[in-house]
Amino acid sequence: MSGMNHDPSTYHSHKSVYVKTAAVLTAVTAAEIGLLFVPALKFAFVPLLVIMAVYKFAVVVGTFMHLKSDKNVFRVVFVAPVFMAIAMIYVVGLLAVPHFGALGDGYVRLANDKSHDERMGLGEYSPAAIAARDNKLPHLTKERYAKLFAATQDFAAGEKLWGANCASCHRADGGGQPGLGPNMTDDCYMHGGTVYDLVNTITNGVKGKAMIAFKSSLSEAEIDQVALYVRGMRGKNVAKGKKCEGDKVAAK
Amino acid sequence: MSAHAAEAADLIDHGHAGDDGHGHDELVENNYMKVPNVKLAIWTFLGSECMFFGSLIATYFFYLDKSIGGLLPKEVFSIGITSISTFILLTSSFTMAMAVDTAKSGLMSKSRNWLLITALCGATFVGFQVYEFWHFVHLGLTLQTSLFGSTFYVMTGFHGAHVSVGVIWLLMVAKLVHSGKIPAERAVFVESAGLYWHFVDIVWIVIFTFVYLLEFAK
Repeated sequence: MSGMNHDPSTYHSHKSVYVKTAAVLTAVTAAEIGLLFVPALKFAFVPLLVIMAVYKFAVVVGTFMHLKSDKNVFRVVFVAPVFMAIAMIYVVGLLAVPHFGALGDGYVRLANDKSHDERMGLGEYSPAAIAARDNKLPHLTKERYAKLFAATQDFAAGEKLWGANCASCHRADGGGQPGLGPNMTDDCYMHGGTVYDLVNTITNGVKGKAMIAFKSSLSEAEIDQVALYVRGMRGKNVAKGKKCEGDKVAAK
Repeated sequence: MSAHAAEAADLIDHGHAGDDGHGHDELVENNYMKVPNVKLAIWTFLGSECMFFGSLIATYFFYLDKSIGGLLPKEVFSIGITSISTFILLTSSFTMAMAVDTAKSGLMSKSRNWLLITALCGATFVGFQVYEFWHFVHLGLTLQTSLFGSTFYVMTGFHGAHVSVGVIWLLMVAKLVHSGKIPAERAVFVESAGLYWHFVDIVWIVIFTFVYLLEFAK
């Protein structure tokens, strides 16, 4: 065996250092959590948390991982990527998050970021643009749709469209998802429960909510089909559906 | 003390018995840089892991507050539960340091016990994460729900997978220490597992502070 192998007889235990280090790490973590319960320091939350996290990171790497007193080559192969990762997070954050620390003013908005446009009241999702587009389907009437629903036997096309476009938020069986789409199988509607109302909601979406407009992704015929299918769901009351939201309408 | 010495000597003998006489030192020694190869490999690997988790964390912040629906971080996070699992993982870093320290001191059965305690802490942490995921899915946040759901589960899921791999690694090292295949002379193999383990802990230090605590500091 060469001299590279570890010799336990010349090794001095670091036990007391490790115990102290563990105590410090525990105390700093407790301070991090405790900080959240001191509203008076709210203005300093972010810098204090960053400082404490960086300190903990350095202590674990320096003492527990021995990087402080180990060979230089280990520092090179590890610390360089750490800074590369920090730079990457910093730049991506700079690009994307408007309130990313003090860099808020420097962010670059992505051209196709519709959700951001929506919140900021910009572009095609601005209230003015939506109002201009929201024709109230003048060539279609509630009566026409009521007759159409009464005559409809086959919901297969609508069911297929539902699976592809609606199920991700309203659930495959229409029972709805917490924080996302409401239950479509009860007797409650937030934006009207007639086929006409449903066509309107699907076509134009609901401003400021997760319900997006489908006028650009589905044809009018497809919107009719899916609205008829949704109307057909009423009163099914599937198991584990979301609770009633909006106005209750008379069942079927 | 004499019992320990006898044990250590016994383990050292085992180490020799397994030595085929040549080619073994190349495994642990880099003649150019005078550092054990295995340690250099682990540190280089951990460097690449920094980039890996860096990209996951960057992605999380890139999409933060961009979900058009679904539950918000504040609506699902529980500081109490996450704090407990954080303390457990932090404690495991201490027990891991002790496992390496005892291995280097030649106290191999003590080292094995510290390794087992560390693995137990890690498994407990994973258990907390399984509960957390189960709870969040129950609340209605899944991988498909929103940008927050996707980026959160991918980031913390990969961390949990790393902890799980670490637990398996520690159990394997504990078994090798127990059977004498890792004697005090080759404590570098305990140390290498320890480096990986501490790294998994520092990733959690970052995630806990920047993903969980900052959410409540806003």
